[in-house]
Amino acid sequence: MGEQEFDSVLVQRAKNGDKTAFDMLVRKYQHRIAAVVSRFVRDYAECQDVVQDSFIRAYKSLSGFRGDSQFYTWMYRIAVNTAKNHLSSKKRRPSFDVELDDAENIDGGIYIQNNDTPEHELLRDEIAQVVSKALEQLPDDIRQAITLREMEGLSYEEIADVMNTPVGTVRSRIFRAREAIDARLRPLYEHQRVRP
Amino acid sequence: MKPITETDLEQLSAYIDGELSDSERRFFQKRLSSDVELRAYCERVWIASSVLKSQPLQILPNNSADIIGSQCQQKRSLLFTPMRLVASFGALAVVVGIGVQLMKPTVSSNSLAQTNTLPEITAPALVVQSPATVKSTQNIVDLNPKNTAESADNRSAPIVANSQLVAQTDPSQFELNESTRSKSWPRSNQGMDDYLVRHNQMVDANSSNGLISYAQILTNDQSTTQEQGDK
Repeated sequence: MGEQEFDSVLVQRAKNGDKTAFDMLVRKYQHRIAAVVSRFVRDYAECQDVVQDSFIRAYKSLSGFRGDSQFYTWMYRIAVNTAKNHLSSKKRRPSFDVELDDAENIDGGIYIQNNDTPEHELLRDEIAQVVSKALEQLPDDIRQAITLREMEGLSYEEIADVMNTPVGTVRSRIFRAREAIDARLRPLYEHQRVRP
Repeated sequence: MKPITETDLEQLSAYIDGELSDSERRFFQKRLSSDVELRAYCERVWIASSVLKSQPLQILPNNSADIIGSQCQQKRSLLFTPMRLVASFGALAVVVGIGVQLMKPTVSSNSLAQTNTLPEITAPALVVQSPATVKSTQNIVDLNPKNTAESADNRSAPIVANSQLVAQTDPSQFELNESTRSKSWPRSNQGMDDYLVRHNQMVDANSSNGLISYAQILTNDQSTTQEQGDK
């Protein structure tokens, strides 16, 4: 199951009234959606409100989501429209416009955000550094497994073919990598989190 | 809440990669729905994943998802309360409507029975045929034994009892016409004769298509033979 299929399963479950499934979608995409919204709305608290509104709108119109596009693309469009509506209601213009088709083309990583407070920028830099450092310190086979999974998007079976190991070993290696990264990320995220 | 084990985390890792079997996935979804910590771990994995993929991020407070979830639920309940009321009234109206529809036939049949507007269903009734009809269908007679004598005398207004309706569908229930039975038949088998007479009368009673009945043929043949014999 790819990422899109995984999202489809969550969307289907959320449509059927599964709160946890929608919560998972929010947890998965809220930070990326916040990055999109922050392009329009500079203020962090306002940005947070717009993100929340976007997800609430998405939740209300979830039954109308037919799955023709990816959930993130659909969510991205809702977020851009919500942000624009937010600015027009305050009679403000966006700092710079983002086309709706840009959903899959945003790159530049977390460093693209330069319209934020120094505190937020610092946090993002720290997170990026921690993840990079944790990745560097992983044993070669574990680092290779997580890299093939996250950056190349290969399935466990494909990784098993590439690395010539059983699928179970691949699963274990990817888990070890994530556990090591999370061990470093957790304190940063929990204790130095941005407060509204 | 169960403590999170290493196995749980390994399963979670495979779950977010979509690499669990169907049964494992269902089991794990139940586990996830009751474990906030596990979902928070899931969120951190996605953050790390986004960083590795160099996706743009704006880190929100870690209770952000909970706030959004609770707001969605509030909206849902606000939306659904009036809808539930409308749905309840709608369902009630449908039930009442169906009840009224079901009651209608009972009430009308009772009232109709009282007014005799549906005599063929609710009460035995008499069908009076005009003399012209009787002439054209010589074999239509009163099938009620009580009226046999009367009908023999008064052929201008034969009365067909409602029991004929039953007889039309079941030959064994068809009452034998005694006047026809009394005729002499060329057959010696009385049971067969009776059956043929019943059948003949049924055909005659059910249709007025102008065809000559079997009984008539037999009777005519008999009389013709007798006449020829007399000559």
